[in-house]
Amino acid sequence: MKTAYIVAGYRSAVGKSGKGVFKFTRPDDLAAGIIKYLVASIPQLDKEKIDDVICGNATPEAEQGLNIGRMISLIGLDTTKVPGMTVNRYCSSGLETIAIANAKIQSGMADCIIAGGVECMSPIPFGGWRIIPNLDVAKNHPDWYWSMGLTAEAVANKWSISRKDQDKFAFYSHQKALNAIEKGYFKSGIVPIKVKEIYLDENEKRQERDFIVDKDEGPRKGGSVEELAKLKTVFAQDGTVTAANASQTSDGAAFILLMSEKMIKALDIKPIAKLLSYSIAGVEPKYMGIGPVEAVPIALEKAKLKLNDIEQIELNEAFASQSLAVIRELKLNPDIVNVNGGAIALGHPLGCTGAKLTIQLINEMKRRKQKYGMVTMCVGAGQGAAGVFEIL
Amino acid sequence: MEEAGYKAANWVYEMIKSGNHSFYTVEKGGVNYYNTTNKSQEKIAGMENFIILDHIRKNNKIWSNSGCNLTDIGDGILNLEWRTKMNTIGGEVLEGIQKSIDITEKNFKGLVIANQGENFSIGANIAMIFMMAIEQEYDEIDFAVRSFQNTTARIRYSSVPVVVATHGMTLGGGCEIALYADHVQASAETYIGLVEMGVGVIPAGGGTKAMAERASNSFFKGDIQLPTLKERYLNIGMAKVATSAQEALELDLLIKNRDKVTIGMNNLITDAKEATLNLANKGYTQPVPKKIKVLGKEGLGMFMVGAHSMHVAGYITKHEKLMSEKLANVICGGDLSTPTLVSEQYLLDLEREAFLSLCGERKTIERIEHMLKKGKPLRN
Repeated sequence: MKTAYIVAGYRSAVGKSGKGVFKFTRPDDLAAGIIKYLVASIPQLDKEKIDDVICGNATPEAEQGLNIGRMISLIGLDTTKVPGMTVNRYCSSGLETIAIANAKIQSGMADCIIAGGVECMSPIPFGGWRIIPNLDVAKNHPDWYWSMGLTAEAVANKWSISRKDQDKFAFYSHQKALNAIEKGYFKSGIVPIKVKEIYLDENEKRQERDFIVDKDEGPRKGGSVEELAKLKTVFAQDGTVTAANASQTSDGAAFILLMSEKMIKALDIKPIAKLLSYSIAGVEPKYMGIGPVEAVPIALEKAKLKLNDIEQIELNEAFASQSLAVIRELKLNPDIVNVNGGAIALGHPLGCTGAKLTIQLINEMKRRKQKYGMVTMCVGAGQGAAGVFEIL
Repeated sequence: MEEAGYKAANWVYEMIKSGNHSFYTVEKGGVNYYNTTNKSQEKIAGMENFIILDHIRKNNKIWSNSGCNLTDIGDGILNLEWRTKMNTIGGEVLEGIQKSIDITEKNFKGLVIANQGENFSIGANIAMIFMMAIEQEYDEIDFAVRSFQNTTARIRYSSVPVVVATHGMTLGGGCEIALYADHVQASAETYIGLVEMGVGVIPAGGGTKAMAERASNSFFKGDIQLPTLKERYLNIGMAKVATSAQEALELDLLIKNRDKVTIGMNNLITDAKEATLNLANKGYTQPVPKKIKVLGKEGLGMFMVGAHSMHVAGYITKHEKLMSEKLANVICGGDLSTPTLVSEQYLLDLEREAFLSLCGERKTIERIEHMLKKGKPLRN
C-alpha cells in the first residue's frame, strides 16, 4: 500500500447562517476561493495534475446541487481538466472526503486530490427544501427521521447530562474560541475571503461594497453560565437543549490537498500530516449523538494506537449533551478536547466541518508540537466517524 | 321625568304635540331622528346605507324556521341569518341554508349569509355531536356530517352567488361555511379559524378538504408543494385562529384578490349585498367541479414524522398525535403512491371517516364535554 500525505489545508472563516457575513456568498464561490488559495500555496504544483476534487456536502441541492464538487473544480481551478464529485455523509462529509482521497492515493488510483467540504446553510434550510420521508419508515421507525435536536434530548436523558453541565460546556466553548481568536491561533488556517455585496441604497441606486471576511463570526463575548440557564429549550417541552448549548448553523468551506509519496518527492514538498485511520460506525438513530463512542475505538485500533497516545481531539460539538456523553463514555481527557472551542461557539457548517476540524487540529498540534490527534463527530441518522492523524 | 319632579325641555313637549312620540323612529328599515330645528323626523346622516336586520326582519320576511330568518334586503338580494345560541350551527341552520338557496335560485339574484349578533358563528352544535357520540349513534353522526358537507357543497354549487359576511368569532363550522362562499365580505374584526382539534375532531364539513383544495390551487409548475400544504395542514393542526381579516388572508382562510374587508360592522351587510349584486350582474354561473391535487405518501410521511416528533418532544399529547395523523391522512388524500388528482367527494369521504373514528375515542368525548362545561379546550 502506498502512503498518502496531507500537504496543505485551508478554510474560510465561519459565518452565521441567515444573517451572517456569507449570507449572499454562494457555496461554490466560497469553496472555489479556498481551493484557489490552496493550490496557489504550492506554486510548484501544476494544477492539471490534480486527479480530483472531492467535496463534502450535507444538503446537495439548490445552490449546493448539480454536483457542486465539479463546479468548484471548474470555478476554482480555472481548467476543465480536473474532475469533481460530491460526497454526503452529513456532518462527517468533510472528513469522509479526506478518507476517500487518502484511500485512492494509497491504492494507486490517484496521486493528488483536493478533499474537503462546503456548506452554506444561509440559502438552504436544514434538511433541504423538500423532505419526503418513506411512509413505511415514518410509521414503523419514526425516530429514524428525528430532528437532530430531539436526538440531543434523547442522549441527554439516557446519559443523564444535566442542563447545567450543558450550559457550562457551551460557555467554555465560547471562552476557548475567543481566546484562540485573540491569540491568532486560527489565522494561518483561514483564507481571507473577499465578499462583494450589490445592493440598492435608500434612493434605490445600485451600489457595490466589498469587505474581507477572515474571522469566525460565532463566538460571543460576555455572558455567563447563569445567563445561559435562563434560555428556553427549543426541541422539547421539558428538555434541556437550548439554542445556546447546541451548535450554530453556519456557512463555511475547508479543503485539504493530499498527495502520494511519489508526487511530494517529485515536487520537493514537505508534508504536514498523515491520516492514519478512519472509521465510521452505526448506532441507534435516536441516539445519533453517541456515534463517536462506537467509531473512536475502531479508528484507534486501525491506527494501532491507544487513547492515551492521542494528544488532542477535535470532537464536533453538535450539541453539548452529546459531546459530554461521548467524553464521559469514552473517558476522554476534557483538557485535550476542543482546546480552541468547538461548533457551539465557532459554528457547524455541516459538510465542511470534518475538513475544518482537521485543519484546526493539524495547525494547533503543529503549534504545540504534538504527534497524534483525532477528529471525531456524530453523524445524522445514527452514525459516528473518527479519523486519527499523525503530525509530521 | 315629570314623576321625578323634573320638567323636560320645551322642544320635547312641542315634539310630542306635533305627533312625534319618540326621538327616533324606523321607517323603511332606516333610522330617523327628530330634528329640533326643522321640527320633523329626518334620516340620520351617514346611516342611509346601513342595513339593520332588526328593522326589516319582520316586514321583509321571506321565510323562517326555528333558528333562521330569510330577509329581503332589496335589489333582488336575500339575507340569511340564524339566531341560535351563540349562533351555533345545527340541523335547523343547515336546513335554513339549503332552503334559502332554493328560494333565491327561484326568484332572486343572490344570497348573503350574515347576521348582526355578537359573532358570526362559534361553530357546529357540539352538544348534539356529544350526545350522539356518548350513545354511540354513529349512523346519526354520519348523517349529521353528511348534511353539513352537502350544505357547504350547496353553497358552492348553486346557480346564484352566495356571499358570506363574517364578523367576530367565525370558528369551526362557521369558518367552513365561509370557506365555501363565492365571496367573503369580512369585517376587519373577524376571528376565523378551523378549531375542531380543540374538541378532538378534524373539520369534516368540508373544512379539511377546503385546505387541501386551497393548497392544490396554490401549487404552480415546479413548486415543491409540501411547504404549501404544510401551512394549510398547520392551520387545522394547530387550530390557528386569525386575529383579523388581514391575518385570515395570510393564512388562506380568506382568498386574496377575491375576498374583501369591511372596516367595522355598520356597512358589512351593505358591502356584502353590493358584492353579491356585482357577481350576479356580471353573469354569475355555477362553478364547475375541479379535481384536487393531493400528495399521497409524499406528504403523509412528513406529517407522520412531524406528529411523532412533536409528541416525543412533549408538545402534543398522544391523542393529539392521533388526531394529527388522521388529519394528515385526509389532507394528503391517503397513502396514494403518487400525487394524484382526486374528486371533492373522495376527500369528503375521508373527512367523514376520520371524524367518525375520532368520535369513537374516549378522549375526544372528554374534550367535547370539557368544552361544553368549561367553554375552553381540554388538552388530554
